[in-house]
Amino acid sequence: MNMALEIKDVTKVYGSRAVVNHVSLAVERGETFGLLGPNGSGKTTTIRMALDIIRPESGNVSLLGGIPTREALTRVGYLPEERGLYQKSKVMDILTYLGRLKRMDAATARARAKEMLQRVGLYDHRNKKVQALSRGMTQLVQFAGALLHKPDLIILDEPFAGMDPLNVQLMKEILREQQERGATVVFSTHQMPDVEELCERVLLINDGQSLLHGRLDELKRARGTHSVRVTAERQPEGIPGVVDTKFRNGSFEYLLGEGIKPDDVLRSFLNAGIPVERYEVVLPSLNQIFIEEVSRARNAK
Amino acid sequence: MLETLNEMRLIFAEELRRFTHGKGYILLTLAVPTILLVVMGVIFVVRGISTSGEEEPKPIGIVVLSNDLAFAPDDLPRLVAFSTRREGIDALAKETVKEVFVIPEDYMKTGRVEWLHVAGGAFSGFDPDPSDASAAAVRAYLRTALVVEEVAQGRLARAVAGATFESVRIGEDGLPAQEDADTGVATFIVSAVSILLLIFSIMIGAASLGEAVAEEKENRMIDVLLTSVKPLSLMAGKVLAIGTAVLITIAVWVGSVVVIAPRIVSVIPNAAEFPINLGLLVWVLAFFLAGYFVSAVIMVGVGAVVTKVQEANQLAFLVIIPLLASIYVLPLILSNPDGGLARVLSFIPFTAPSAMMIRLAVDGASTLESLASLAVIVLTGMALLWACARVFRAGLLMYGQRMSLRRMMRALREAG
Repeated sequence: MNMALEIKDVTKVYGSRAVVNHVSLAVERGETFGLLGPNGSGKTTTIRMALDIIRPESGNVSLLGGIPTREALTRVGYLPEERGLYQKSKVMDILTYLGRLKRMDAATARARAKEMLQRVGLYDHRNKKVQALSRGMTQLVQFAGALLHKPDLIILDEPFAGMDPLNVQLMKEILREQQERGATVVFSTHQMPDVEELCERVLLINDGQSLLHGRLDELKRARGTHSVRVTAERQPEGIPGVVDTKFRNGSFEYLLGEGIKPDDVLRSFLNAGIPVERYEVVLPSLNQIFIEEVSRARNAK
Repeated sequence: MLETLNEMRLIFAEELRRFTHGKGYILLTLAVPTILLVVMGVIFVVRGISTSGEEEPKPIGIVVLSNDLAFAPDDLPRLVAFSTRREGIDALAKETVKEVFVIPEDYMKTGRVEWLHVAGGAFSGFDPDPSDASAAAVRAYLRTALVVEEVAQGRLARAVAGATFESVRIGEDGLPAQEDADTGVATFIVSAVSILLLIFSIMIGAASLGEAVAEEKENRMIDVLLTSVKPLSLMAGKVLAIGTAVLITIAVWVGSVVVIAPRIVSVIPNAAEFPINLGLLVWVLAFFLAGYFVSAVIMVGVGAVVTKVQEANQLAFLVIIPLLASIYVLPLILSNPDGGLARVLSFIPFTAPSAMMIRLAVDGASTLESLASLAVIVLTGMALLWACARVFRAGLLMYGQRMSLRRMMRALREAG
């Protein structure tokens, strides 16, 4: 069994509404997985079911190769969407407590808390109360707390929300370090650039239903080639099959119509005797895919 | 089981640390000893000012030079005898006595007594006479010494010692009651104070529990906790921790009253010998703990099902009102501690702790009845703990939604 997390056909109903409806996903050990979806799409509920905080009406969850036992959950680091530490506790105390909850002895928990605070640049704030920290700092402390016990599986719910670019960069670096030591990372977001930067595989859900699931590059390729980018002094007149043309950053971008191959655009340049400095087939961005898929799902209703 | 206990221990330690480190808790805990110390300080200062010009309760020196007075002054309170005037003056100089009275050889003829006292202060020269207390003590000696040869020794001892008063309470049957009046009053005070402390502990402790759980739910810290510990461990750890914190406060309060109050009320005769029934204390403590347990468990459940901290505070009345109701019917229970109302209230888990404390105070409950009542409270508490742990889990997944009764019932059924 190579899966760090496997969710099969889970459904969660609140009242008469299925907030998660027959969703499945599989996260391989050691990969970084993105759980995408607009606000209220069911990402947090899916994560809470994965962590056995709530139980699904139907379907199964397998965590680190088995049912989510207390032992398995001890090997998971979790950062919830709403950040809420005990406001009147000192940073060092609360991190030590979080470590103790994950079965670390007090001395080890304190040592790791010190280490993690140094890594996120908050060591000088270790004796401050949480209420004295900024929102971003509090978020970093909680992020450090989720990683304190060197978990095998790290689940982060909207980890970069509300963070400044420097801290986002720092968190991404730390996540890469965690992945390098063998940890699996799952995070939810609706910030597509973060996913493209970090994730190998994704699940896109909307209104509790799965829209896309798989490797990011495969999902992009599967959607077909939509556009090409050509860097040249000028462009030929009347390239056949081009639906839209944009000139951006010194390059021409052509949106291709149905049945048109990228090579046809290149051929038009060569036939017109225009030297081409750079030619690039552009895969659709995740942002494009996200907007298209969610819009399609909403229009289908 | 071991894992659950370990989880409970972790939660207990953290909750206790956090709760007892709060400024509000520290101030509350130190409030009673501080107030008592301030009162004691004020009393000492006021007493010091008011008695600065008067005699201190130091011994009074007496020198009997008259051969007609054979009775030794040492047999009377506050009097210290000296053989010679010189010895008396030396004692005065050393401040072992405040003043010295010299009964001269010709006292029988003249009736004069010499009053030796230290000259000091700008106004000392205006002291025309000794204080009433000193004069009374010396006059009592002189009267006794003058008649001592005429009175039998046994009678003299009784005359000197005076009388003590013993209280005997007559019951409705016309016979003296078993327990003396002081014990009855003490017993009632212990029970009344315990009820007040129970209400206090529930208002502070149990209400804090509801608020803390609602807050954790609001900021989703609860999600992090539930990935590490079971709901039952979380609940039980919290209930025990806050209960311990409240007991620490009560212990500090009671301890400070026991240590400081006697110094304040030392002017009250026999205050330190106020008798308290130890067996009753054990019963009261048992009902106190059981009452807290039931209320705390309910408040944790309340915290889990509400959506906001304010709602938890508002719902704290759920556990406070039944206790207050017992206070309201206190006169009825007191007038008929074995009556139907008293018995019914003793077996309703929410009113039983205070009702039983009142009944025990007036000797209105048998041991069997007390045990049965205690069992009802404890078993109810355990059943509630089980049910609340289920509702707790179901309630925690509801953010921004109210927990309906139907949903609670479903949570309980699913657990079964």
